[in-house]
Amino acid sequence: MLVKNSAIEAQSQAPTLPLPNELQALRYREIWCCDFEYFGADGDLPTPMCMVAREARSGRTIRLWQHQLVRRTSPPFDTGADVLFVAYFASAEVGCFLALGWEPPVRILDLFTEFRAVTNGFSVPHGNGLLGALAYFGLPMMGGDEKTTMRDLILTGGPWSHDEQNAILDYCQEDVDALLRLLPIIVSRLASQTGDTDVRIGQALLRGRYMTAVARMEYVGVPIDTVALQRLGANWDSIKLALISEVDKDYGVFDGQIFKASRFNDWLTRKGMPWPRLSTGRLALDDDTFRQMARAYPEVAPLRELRHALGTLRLNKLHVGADGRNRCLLSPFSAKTGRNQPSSAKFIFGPSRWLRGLIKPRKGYGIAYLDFGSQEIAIAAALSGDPVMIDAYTSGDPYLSFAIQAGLAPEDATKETHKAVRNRCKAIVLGVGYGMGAESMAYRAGLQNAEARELLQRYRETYRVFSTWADNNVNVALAGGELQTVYGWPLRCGPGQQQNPRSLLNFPMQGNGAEMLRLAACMGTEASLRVCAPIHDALLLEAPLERLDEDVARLKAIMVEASKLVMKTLSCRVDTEIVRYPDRYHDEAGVEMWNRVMGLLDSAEAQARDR
Amino acid sequence: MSDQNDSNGKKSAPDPFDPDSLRVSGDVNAIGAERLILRLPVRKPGKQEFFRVNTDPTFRLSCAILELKDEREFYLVTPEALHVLEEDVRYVDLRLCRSRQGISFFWPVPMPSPDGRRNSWNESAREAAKIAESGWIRMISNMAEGSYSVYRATGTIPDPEWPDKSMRELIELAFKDGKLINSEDHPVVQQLYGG
Repeated sequence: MLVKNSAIEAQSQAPTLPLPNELQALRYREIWCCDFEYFGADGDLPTPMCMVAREARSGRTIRLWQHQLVRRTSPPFDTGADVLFVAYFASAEVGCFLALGWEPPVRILDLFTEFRAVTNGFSVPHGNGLLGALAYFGLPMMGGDEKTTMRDLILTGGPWSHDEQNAILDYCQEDVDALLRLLPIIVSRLASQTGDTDVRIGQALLRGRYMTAVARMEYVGVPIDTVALQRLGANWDSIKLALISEVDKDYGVFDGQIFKASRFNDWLTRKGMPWPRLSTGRLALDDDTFRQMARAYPEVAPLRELRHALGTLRLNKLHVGADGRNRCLLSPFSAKTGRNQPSSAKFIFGPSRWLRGLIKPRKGYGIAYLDFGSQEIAIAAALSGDPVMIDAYTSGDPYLSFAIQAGLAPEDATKETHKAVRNRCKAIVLGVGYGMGAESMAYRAGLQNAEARELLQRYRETYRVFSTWADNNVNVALAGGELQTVYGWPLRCGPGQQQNPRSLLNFPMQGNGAEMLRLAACMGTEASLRVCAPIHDALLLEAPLERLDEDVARLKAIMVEASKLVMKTLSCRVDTEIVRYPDRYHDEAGVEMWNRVMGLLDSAEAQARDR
Repeated sequence: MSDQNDSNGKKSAPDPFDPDSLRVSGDVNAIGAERLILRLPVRKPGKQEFFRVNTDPTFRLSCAILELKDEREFYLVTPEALHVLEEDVRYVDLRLCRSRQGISFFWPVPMPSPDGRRNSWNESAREAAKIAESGWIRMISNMAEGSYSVYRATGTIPDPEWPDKSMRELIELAFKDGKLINSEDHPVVQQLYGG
């Protein structure tokens, strides 16, 4: 029976319903399914406009409009450890909690992360959204057109009439009803999997815990030098032309703004440089090839940066809020490995590396980039239990260690005395981690195919335990088994599923690397550290200058602890790079391009002033 | 974790803040795979192949071998059939080898001629086998010298991993599919001498 307190604020108390059998496994006093509607410009914090929540057992329903939400200092239902909070893509809901100044729920079951987990590796014909999940399980759902109409109404930003407010609340409630339909199915899937049900549910809650960390990181955002961004945006067209002219003088491969493959072919011939070709015989000109070749032949790097900048850089796509912070959807669990996959156009760590020079701490603050050193090697060594590889990692320089262990360098070799052999070994060690074949490694490292084959053979002989373990993982998956991380993120490999053996080989390293970063992000944000963003195997931290060193040390310790939670027998090294105001962050590979662009920017502005 | 109870004696709900209790090993599958050896080649080491020879005496067999050169096939001839093929067999020391690429094979190393005649090819092959017992080598025919040239790998290369099978099993793998001649009724005998 619905008891309306007002047209837009309502609480209903439906008769107590028996909890579906599947939900009996969840030992919680209350189970709240919740959804918010919110709006906000790109890069800005979300502005919650309404919320609907329904308790699964009692049917109690709460509908609150914006003015009622902002009046509250806490959520309208319990969110402690004995209450389960259920949402779809919970970082959005938790983001609204944070925007309202509410403490996030303690136990979160995110049906998005669990739908991803249930289907990771399978094709999902209708996508990973709530509608896609409902369709996947054959559950009734709202029409896509209706959803679009309501979203458009919300995005107008108001004001909304009384009827419109009710319609939006009804729309929000439909999503909550959908959560209630989806919840038993997801829980039964968790319960039916191999292993202890409690562990499976606990792992799901751990993923839910990360969604809170995501919300907190999205809330903080990355500090951007908006003045420099604005200057770049205003002058980008003229900078582009000048940039082409400056970079291309060493290559002669552009005709106006057009890259000419024939001229590039001539340049390669003049340089005597080998270049990968397509099966048609044409030069491979994709960015991946350029990136790999630029590693092997550094003289290609400026051209690669230029092409990348011209091809992908859309400064207006970068999501920067009114407060000068880069915020975008971090897209947790979007990659098969469970890693975040934010839009490369919207995220400051996505576009060209040189553009990261726009990251600048605000006055009185500093930032720090903390990354796990050689994370994949550490995980490979620890989880395979290969004693020789563990020695290599703990030596501090796994590439040189491989050279020594494989008999390619003497015992007393150093990075300085055996730079060339170390570089070759580095290419092999990294290449094996990515499941590359000898030919790809040869391209990547500028080696002859025969040499790459020989080094690969040495690798397999040196790290026999790892090689057997890795082969077994691939075999398990290809035989229709399941790969999973130590905290249960699965890669489904059921019958009929095509999986790339390279991805299978790489999954344990990448998937567990993702677990490690997620744990670090959880513990770091819960320790009230201002973590701005996760970047593959790194976290960006912000702190007031007087507390910066202390916060860096705290986060570093947390990251080491997270690595132990994943690897048990080994801890990961954490490398740190600190930037204090007024300095700006730079990615080493992008410094030259940044300086070049800023020089051109100064010239463009000077010319404009002269005119 | 599933054994934990709260103060009322009820089983407590999973705690995502206690990751240790949620950690599982990656090996949840009953599924696995092992590489099987279905055939064991019998051949001379390839000229581009570094290999080692097993030193365990249980993995060598002095025996009579019939080689069909056109088919590049080796047949193991048992004493029961030897009287028929006496003129065509070679007496060899069958040695278990392993290449750098992890391929196991039998190498029929020629034995010294009973009449004492010297053959520099055979002698150099035996010497090569001896060297390959302790180091990785490859051998190439040197027509000018009338013998095999041997290249020994320098530097550290780990010892090979030998197949986990008995000599009897390996012999079966090498000479199955009719490659064991144990009577004069064998098709190859019929082919050579007419039936």
